[in-house]
Amino acid sequence: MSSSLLAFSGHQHLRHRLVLSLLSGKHVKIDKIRPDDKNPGLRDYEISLLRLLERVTNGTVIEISVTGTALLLRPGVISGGPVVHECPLSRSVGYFLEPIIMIAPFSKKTLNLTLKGITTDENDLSVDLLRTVTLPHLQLFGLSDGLELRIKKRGATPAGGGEVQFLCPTVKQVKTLNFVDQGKIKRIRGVSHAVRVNPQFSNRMIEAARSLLNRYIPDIYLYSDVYKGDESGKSPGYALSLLAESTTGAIHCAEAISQPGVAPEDIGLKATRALLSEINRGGCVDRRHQTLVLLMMVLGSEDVGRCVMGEPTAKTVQFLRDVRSFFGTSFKVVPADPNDPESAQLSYSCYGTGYVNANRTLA
Amino acid sequence: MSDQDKLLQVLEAHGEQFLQSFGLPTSGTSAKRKKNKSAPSSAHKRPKLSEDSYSSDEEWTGIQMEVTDFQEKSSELDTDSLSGDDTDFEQEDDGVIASSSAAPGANTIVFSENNYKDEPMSKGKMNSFMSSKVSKIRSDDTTPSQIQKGTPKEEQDEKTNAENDVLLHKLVHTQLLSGSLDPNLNLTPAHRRKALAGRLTELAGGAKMGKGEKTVRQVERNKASKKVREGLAQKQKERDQQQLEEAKNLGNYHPTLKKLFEASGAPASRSRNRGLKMGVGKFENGVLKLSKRDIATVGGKSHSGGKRGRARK
Repeated sequence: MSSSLLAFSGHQHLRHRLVLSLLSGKHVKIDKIRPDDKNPGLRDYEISLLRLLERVTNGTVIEISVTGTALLLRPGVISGGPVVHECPLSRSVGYFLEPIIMIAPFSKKTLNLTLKGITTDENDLSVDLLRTVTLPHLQLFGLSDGLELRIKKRGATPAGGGEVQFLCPTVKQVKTLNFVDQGKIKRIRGVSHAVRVNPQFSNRMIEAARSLLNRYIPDIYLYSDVYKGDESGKSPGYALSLLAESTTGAIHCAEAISQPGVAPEDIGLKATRALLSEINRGGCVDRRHQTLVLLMMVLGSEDVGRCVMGEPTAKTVQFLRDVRSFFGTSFKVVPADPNDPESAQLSYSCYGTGYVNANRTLA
Repeated sequence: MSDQDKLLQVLEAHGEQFLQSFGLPTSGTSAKRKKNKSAPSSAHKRPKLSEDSYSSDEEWTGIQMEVTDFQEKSSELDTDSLSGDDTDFEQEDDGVIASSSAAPGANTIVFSENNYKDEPMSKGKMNSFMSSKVSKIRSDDTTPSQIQKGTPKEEQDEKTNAENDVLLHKLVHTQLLSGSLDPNLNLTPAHRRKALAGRLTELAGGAKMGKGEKTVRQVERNKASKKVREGLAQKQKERDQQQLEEAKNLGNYHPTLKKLFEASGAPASRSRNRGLKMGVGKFENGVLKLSKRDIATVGGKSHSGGKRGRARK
């Protein structure tokens, strides 16, 4: 066992540390997980995520301490294949899908993952945004054929009942990214859905959103997704997801989920205002997808990859630090426009590690 | 606030003046209404107000009164809104076109809420956006004109090929083979006559292309006696079989060409409907759906119009 051991502490940033460990092959030890909490140690969704990672990979050994406050991961080979996983009802399917999206292109076989649980939640990206925003970001790196996210059933909190199927092709090496021009917004699309409530709520959200967005560009289309009967899950809820696409292909997204006691018009307006503020921040990649894009840049071919984004979030900052511990790659972050002192855009560039998917079976 | 009070008073005076022109007893009922209105007006209280006005001793004098009621109410509603009850105003404001602002110099752009039309996006674009395949979500980026530009030449070639095929088919059946006047064929006069007749039936629409002569000969065959007819048919069958065998031997046969080799008299062998079906109705989603016609065919009491059976003489 000559591979080094990296030690971290704390439950934050758990997912991207596990992903980096699986990709780099380095053992990782995480301790002091919620030591002072009333319920110390790993939560049920974190343990479920570890179990899912075990199923998606082959030969991974995960050791959890008795109290659950420490964890050791010895990564194996990412195998892929057909996997069915039931997610606990404490976090939505997006929590589990985000790390899977990061590792799925490097698996041995095409990943066919079915996840059951809550599909739309406040804490994580909903499945609509995952399908329309996160997965198209993978297209920037050369992954498009066979990449699918099918939403079979929807499930709102707290009872869930949703089901999604994720299919991801394997790739030998990820392309180098050179995305510096953010362009101007050319169209806005949206998906609004309502399950087990009056279907007019979906239309009301769309009306409210349109009332704000119509003054900017003409090409706006908000689609009302209807699920009925068994496919609509077990709990009532509604949500609106919006995405804005620019002339160069940069996507910004925002969403709002229903809350008890709040009118659908307010939810529509909330989502719209969040979208407008995201667009205001600018950049080629919006804040929630910074880590995904930066990871793919690191795993690209041995060439300089460049991307212009807004300011990094706290998660992104810690991710960049961890990337340096795992892969030894550091990013050069400079202001994108040196002539304009007020612009908050930063240009992130790095030298790719030339990660090659050695697991891939060329069948 | 004194400005607002003044405005209120002016408006009230105006309202009362307006009402006096109708000759109605305004002071008593309007005071009543004003008392009721001073409480925060909610949607509940509004219908009660109308009832209050009728609970007084006045008779219902018809529609005119209602009209004035509404006008009075609207004037009072305005006063309420001026007093700064913002929530009420929002409730009552249902997409009315906003008037321009009072500031003289400001360039205001008027947006009326419901002026936009929900542009129906083309179904193809909608389907591509909502499809589960990620490669199709942004597929409308690739403009179809670009794709077409790549293959106009191929399209032209294809067109001319199809055109050529049609032309060839026509020629084959009009001039090249059935050309009855061609001396090289050594057609006997009878044969020539039949070929011409066949060609004519094709042109007249009585027969499909190439089958004209066959039709003519068949008609003639049917005129003959039974023995002759049967004999000719049998010989034809044998000949067809031999041709089929020859084609198979030469390697020219493929099951998809069955129709070409079978005698056109035999109808195309339709695929047998396999499986068990319901005798009547449609079984879908666990439910047997019967229409009125289905029930009639089974023999339930159908709505009998017309003769109810002949009366016995």
